[in-house]
Amino acid sequence: MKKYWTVFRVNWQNALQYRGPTFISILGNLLHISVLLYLWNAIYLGEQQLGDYKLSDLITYYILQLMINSMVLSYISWELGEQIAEGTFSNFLVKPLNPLHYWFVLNLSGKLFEGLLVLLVGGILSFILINHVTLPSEGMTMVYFIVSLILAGVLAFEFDFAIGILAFWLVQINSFKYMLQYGMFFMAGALLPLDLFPEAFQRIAHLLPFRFLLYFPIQIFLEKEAQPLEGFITAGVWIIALYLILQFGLKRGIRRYEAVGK
Amino acid sequence: MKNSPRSPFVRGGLGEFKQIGNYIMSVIDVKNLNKTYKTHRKESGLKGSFKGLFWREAVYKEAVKSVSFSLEEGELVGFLGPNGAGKTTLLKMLSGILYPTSGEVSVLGYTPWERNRDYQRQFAIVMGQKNQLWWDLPPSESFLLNRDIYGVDHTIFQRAIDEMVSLLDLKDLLDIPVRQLSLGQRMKCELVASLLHQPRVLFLDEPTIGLDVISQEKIRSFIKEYNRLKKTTVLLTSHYMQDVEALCKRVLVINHGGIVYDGALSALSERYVDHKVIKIRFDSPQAPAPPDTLSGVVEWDTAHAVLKVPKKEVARTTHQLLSDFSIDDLSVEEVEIEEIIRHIFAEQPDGAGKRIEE
Repeated sequence: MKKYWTVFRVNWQNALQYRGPTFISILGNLLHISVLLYLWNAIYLGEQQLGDYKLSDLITYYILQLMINSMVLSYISWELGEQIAEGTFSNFLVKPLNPLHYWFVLNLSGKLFEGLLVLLVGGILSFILINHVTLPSEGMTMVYFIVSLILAGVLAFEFDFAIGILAFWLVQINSFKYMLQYGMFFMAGALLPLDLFPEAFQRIAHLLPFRFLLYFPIQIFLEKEAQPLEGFITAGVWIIALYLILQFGLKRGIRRYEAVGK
Repeated sequence: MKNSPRSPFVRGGLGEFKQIGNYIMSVIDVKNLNKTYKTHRKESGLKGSFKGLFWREAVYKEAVKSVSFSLEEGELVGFLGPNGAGKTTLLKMLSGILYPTSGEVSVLGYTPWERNRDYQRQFAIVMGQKNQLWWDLPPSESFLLNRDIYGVDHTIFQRAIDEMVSLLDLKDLLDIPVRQLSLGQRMKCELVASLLHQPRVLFLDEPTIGLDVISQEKIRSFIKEYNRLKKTTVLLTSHYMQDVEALCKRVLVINHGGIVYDGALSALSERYVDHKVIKIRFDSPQAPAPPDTLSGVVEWDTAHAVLKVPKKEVARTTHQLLSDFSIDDLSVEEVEIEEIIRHIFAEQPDGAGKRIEE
């Protein structure tokens, strides 16, 4: 286990090298959110309530979306795909390391680092908008929220890893990756809370696991989620199932990699 | 004799024994190894791309063809061959990155492509064109990471670092981000990173590629010294003749996927060359063209001449030269190894790259 702790530490050092760019990308997302908030503010001018959401709920929704985006969503598929395409992935075949575990730890340390930065930005933003955000009414909500974030982080990693190992079969995964990632974010509720969509769409989105990435944790925070425990179990089952699928996929991918030889 | 059917140039020797008591055991044993890559041909242009969606022509390339050899503990052996000869493919199979189409390999008693953790802790591969160091961090961080990946004891780790740092002159470079290091410095650090766990077997794939002469020399002497000190078995590929000449007593020459020579570097010329080179400097200016009676002239001007003469003819030709011309200096030399290798490489394959339609 010690080796994975070292992986964590070394990657943290690496992330520190990129603190500037990371901070700037967070500010970029902030700008994006600000525009959305401005838009929603205009939409709410004549209304008190849209669907289940007061204006303060939506402001909270987007601030949380910004923060969860940074803390939870994984982007390791970029590098993983590149390493597979270029052949540096061979390092995992000659060293006593499990690639799945290695990348999990790598992602975890990167996400914690980014999480700290975004907590700062989100905190300041919430403080400025303190009269316009919805905060949980009881302490238990925060516990649930944190559990849902952890589940979201693991799931997001698994989806991203799955995209990354597509590089074993496809020469170029970037355009495909964009498509999958946008689809995934959309179904996760990144643009709009899922319950503002038509009924039929909601039902599909509910069956898919992507809602656990953003929508589900935010609903818990806003105390709108009726069955958090059921959600935890479903997410847990997805995590285990995906883990098994990934181990299998990785094995198959490596088989292919061994045959082609990069 | 397991090696016997292959070629007349096989080296016998101690590789035949298994370890019983104090006998020397062969560390690497390769038997009849084959690797055939399957690729697809694509016709050029849009039409070809479209056609390729439905029907593709499979092309089989035999990268390695029935290769057998064995290495003893502590040997430093060079793999010589032009680009695409199959050197890298072989090393990849020995380190478990590739699995073969057929054949057997045993390294330290393990089958590499099973990727046993115990095997992985005992060997290392360094590829000159692929790095494992973290680009934005100082090499020392990558070293720490490898220390813990391989579970190297801290004091042993420190001793190994100190030793290699002094051998390679890396003292002040360990805390500089890798991206700021020169190619030569980076290569040295790659070597250190790969040797921290004191592997018993080391594969080096083009370790000096792209380096300047001084760095090449430094890395060469390091490899030599390391092999001498640690008795690490080293298999090295290079297409720089100097690397191999400086390091290896024994070479495996590989061309078109097959081993065409396995033996002492110094014996290469005996096997492949049936002539010697006679160089002369004339005492006084001669006619600008050689006389018809003289055969094998390569160069000829009024002051110098170079002749390539069959070994059996050397004495006779020398005698003739000395009696016919007034000669200031005469020397008889072996053909340079580089030229022999060039000669071997230029040989055409027999039936390589067969194409089968699918």
